[in-house]
Amino acid sequence: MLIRRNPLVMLICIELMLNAVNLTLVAFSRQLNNREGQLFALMTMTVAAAEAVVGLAILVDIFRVRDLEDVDDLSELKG
Amino acid sequence: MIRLDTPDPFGIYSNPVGHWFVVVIAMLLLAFVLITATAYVVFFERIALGWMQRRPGPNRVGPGGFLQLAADGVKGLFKEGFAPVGVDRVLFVVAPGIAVASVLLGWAVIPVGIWGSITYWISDLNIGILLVLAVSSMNVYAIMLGGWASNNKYSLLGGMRAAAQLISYEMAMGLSLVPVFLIVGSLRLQDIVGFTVHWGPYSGPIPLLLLAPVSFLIYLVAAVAETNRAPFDLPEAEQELIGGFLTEYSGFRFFMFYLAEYLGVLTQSTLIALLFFGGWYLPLIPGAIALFIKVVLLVFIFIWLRGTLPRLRYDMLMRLGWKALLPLGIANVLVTSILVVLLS
Amino acid sequence: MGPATIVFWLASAVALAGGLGVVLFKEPIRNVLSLVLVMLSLAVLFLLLSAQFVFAVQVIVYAGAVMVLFLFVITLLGPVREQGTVRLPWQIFISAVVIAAFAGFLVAMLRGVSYRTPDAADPIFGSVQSIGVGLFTDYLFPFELTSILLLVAAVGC
Repeated sequence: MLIRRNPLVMLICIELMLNAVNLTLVAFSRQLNNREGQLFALMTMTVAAAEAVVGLAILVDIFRVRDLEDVDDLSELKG
Repeated sequence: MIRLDTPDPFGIYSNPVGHWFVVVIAMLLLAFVLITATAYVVFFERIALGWMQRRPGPNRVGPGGFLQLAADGVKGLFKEGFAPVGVDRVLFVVAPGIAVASVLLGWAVIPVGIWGSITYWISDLNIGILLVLAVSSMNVYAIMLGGWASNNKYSLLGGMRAAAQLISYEMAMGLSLVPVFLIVGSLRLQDIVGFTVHWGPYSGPIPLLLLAPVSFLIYLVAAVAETNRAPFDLPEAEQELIGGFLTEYSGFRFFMFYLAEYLGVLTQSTLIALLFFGGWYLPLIPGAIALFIKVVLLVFIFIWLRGTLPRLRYDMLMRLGWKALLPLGIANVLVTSILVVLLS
Repeated sequence: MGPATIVFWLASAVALAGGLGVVLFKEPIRNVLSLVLVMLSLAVLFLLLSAQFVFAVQVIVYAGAVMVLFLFVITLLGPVREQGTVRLPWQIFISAVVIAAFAGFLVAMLRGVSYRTPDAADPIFGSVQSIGVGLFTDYLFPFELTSILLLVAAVGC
């Protein structure tokens, strides 16, 4: 995420990280034989789905206005 | 695996190698039966459509045109698999494979009753029908990738339509099944088929259509949309998109998409028969034949819809999915859960 | 080595290859497809960990809906190839340092771990029933919070 500059690819990478967390949660839930890990993984999935939806909607709106290939092109609001 | 009520005489299941052997044989048998059955679904559709449109339909090859499908299959196998310039080779080849695999995989959990208490299934998972829903939602990748890889704007439009359509209808499909789960209390198809009621003098299996009619209607509409059949065949749309995602496909790969579509019809018909029509229970008639009759009738409904209804416009399709089926599904879940709590 | 072990190694290899693909491919569509591959192989791993419901949700929600949305946006925006313009060259250096530190941390942590095989799971572990009971009794409040979050996400866009 530090090197890739395409905002779409950044979103994809966030999903990848969340998936990694899910795998750990489910693996430990099996190891420790409690179901909380799986419930947590389900919560992560819903949050990730919401995040992806909002992120993609923002991206589509931005791409309608201008053609960009680097997230740093969007830093006009920098304080 | 095949579960028989009779004891296992040769000790096949207790021995792991024999167990895997039986499972693999069962899978191959099922795939063979399914692909053959799909060919006859196509034949049935052409005959029925011909009958509806007052034309003969296939009647040249074999008695009554019965071998038309064999002729078409041989033609498709030996036709050149042409790929135009500029296609994404890998995705272009992989897409038809995904289409067939996504439909075949769902059959892993679909049980088929044979006679009395003897049923046949490959795997007995706790999530049951969720697996079928999950796997059949992979079908959209085939269509999107086929449309993307073809390097053709009409194909791309078809693929995008497929994605939008799938997202709208999958919600309604899942929601329509929730009342069934609430009533039965299980997701396994065996439990759903074997659902029995004890109402006064009557005690026995009951088709869930009587208990959840709204679910059946929503599921039927969503199933037609999921298989991309008319009146929801917007990804193909011969008149507007010259065949949509199928435009650049020919020969064997085209036949794989074709097989996937009709296999999808067969899968959804079997699912509806199992979910809402009591599966293999029919008085006086043995299981396999009862299921066969129900599936043939449901396949006929799919064909009937194609023969009578015009294709929906794109915005009408989205409006139907989001503004009609989804609220109806939510209301259905609410009412059914209240009734289930009150009556139990 | 039973069939479960073979499936485990296959799924892990596919997941790792897909993860590399996500990071290394230059066209966004290949990134998304690699991520789908990762998700499907993770779903297989969930099944091996007897988390059947999480498996189904993973395939339906992630692979079936979220990734289709990504693919849809990519086809909507058209084929964009990423230019290899590196405006911030020190970022590569910093990320390399962070990766090395993290890898060292992981190795140090794993050296002190003793492994045991998990207890045999009871048949209802990870089933729809146990997940449902968990969601609607002990964890009702977070469950309702996520439903509000989803509502906001659905309405707000």
